[in-house]
Amino acid sequence: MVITESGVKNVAKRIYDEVHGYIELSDIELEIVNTPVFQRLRYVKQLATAWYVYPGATHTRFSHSIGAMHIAGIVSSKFYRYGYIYELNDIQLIRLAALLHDIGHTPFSHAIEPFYKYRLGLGHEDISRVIIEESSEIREVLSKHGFDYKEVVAILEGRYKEPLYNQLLSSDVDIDRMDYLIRDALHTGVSYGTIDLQRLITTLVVDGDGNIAVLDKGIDAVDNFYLARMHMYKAVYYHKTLVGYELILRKIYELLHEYYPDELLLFRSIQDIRKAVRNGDIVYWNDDWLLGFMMNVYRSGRVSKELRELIEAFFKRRGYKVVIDISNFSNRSLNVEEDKDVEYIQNVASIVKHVVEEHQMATFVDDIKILDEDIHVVPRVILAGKRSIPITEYNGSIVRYIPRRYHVRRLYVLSSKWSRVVEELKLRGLIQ
Amino acid sequence: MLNKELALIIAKTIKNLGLDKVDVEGFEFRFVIQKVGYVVQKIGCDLGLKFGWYSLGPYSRTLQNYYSVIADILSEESSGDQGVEKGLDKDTERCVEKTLDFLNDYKEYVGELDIRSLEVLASLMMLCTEIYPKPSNPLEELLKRKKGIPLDLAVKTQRFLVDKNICALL
Repeated sequence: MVITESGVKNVAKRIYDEVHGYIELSDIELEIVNTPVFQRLRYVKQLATAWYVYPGATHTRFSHSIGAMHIAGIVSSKFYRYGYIYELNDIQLIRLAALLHDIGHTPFSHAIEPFYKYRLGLGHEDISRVIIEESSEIREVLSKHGFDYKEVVAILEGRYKEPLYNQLLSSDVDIDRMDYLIRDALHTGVSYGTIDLQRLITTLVVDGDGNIAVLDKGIDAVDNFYLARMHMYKAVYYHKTLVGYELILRKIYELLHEYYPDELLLFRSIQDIRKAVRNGDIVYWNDDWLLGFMMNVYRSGRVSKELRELIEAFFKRRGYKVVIDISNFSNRSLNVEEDKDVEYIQNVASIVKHVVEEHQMATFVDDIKILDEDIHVVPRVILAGKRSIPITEYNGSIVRYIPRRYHVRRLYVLSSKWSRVVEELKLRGLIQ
Repeated sequence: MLNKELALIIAKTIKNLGLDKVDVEGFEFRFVIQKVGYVVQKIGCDLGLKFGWYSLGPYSRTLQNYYSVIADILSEESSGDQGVEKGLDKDTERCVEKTLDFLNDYKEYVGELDIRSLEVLASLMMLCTEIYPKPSNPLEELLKRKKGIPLDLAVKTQRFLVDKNICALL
């Protein structure tokens, strides 16, 4: 059986992608892409509100999902040729898992996802599982072509019987990151966020224990991958303004959830999500629905004062503006209870509470992992064609020396209150 | 943000099993946290963790965030602070007790509780209960994946898990 370089047996369609050029789709992939639940991803932006900072960052989960599938095909067909993957059909299985890996993303991706994580304990991976389980269309397409939807779900949850497939979809150097780093760098224009994908894939192998590894001659490509990631965390994913707009959007979503219990797409339980998948409403759960709902609420005249103020601030790009930003790289986890900078932010926030209303301010503390320092998932380096060691222990790699974490501690207030708050804090000698 | 109780449960279990005598900066310590964390979740109480199936057995990405917190709790203990003796509520105490009973039974059954036997135990538990497609013979699957594992340890572990109704009798 002849397969193409990206692992497709019979090419049903080619889609032009801004990152990878022409991407080939098989029959089954085309049928999945044509389902309404997959088309929903055209209306979910990859980087939530990043276009408020980087105007070009309007790309979607749709293009990323297809790009991830393409990379999955290239890597898995290479592994098949090298004998690391035994079944030809598994290339298709891995491509399908990559295609569907983000099917459960919430509107505005990571801006709204934390809401469901804290309220219902559901991340986008859980919602992906629910969508695949409940969507008769997805299940029927998979089944018609001889694939078991439970196998796709198992790979997405990292429970598949082949650890290598789980690693391909979820490890420190996985196909998800390979696509989104390049795509996000391209659309934001953050050029130091890009990676040498071709070199990375060319030097990717599997070691004797079944772990993804890289040949020592490919170490520069892996180093670049990690450095690119570090730059992207700082310049894009945790950019102060961008995070400010994610926070205001999340706050708006919380208030909508509180004030509009009858809105069916403001899901209150996992059962609501299951029901919306079954009756097809899930298709409309996207960025455009949320913006439209916000606009309708704003113009209805029956909106609470704080919600009105926040929606207006969002649409007019007068959202949360950072007052204090203490962000730094570190090799230790952030101990929120004992960290002096977090305590300082909390103290200042308690003062700001007397100057502005609660919805007009927000604190943000996060401890971002730049590098998975765990032997289970960190890529290994093949030395002299034989022994493999974790890249974090390899002297010839810069990965050994890059910081493990990025700590972010910030205090934001609405732009309209920013000058007043800054003035007050200066008067009290709390900021310079 | 971090769940202190989760860290305390795992730290207390590790301490009581005597598995805390390893370099907290090293690989073995992380390995012990991962495997003990998995057993706690399966036997003691739901920690809300998600474990994937990797070449070294069950692994939770979230637990990475707890390595230094657990190390700190264990070092507080050795420095005379409260450490693992910090108060836990009844349910949490029960969770630790159930896990300890299970792991002490296992230790008695196979003769030793170290990182190798923990890896075999946690991996077989995952193969028997969570991996899809379900392997027809989890023991064979384990030996196929992990070539250096002593056969007698693997067989004993399987018998132990059959006795505990976690693996099915083949």
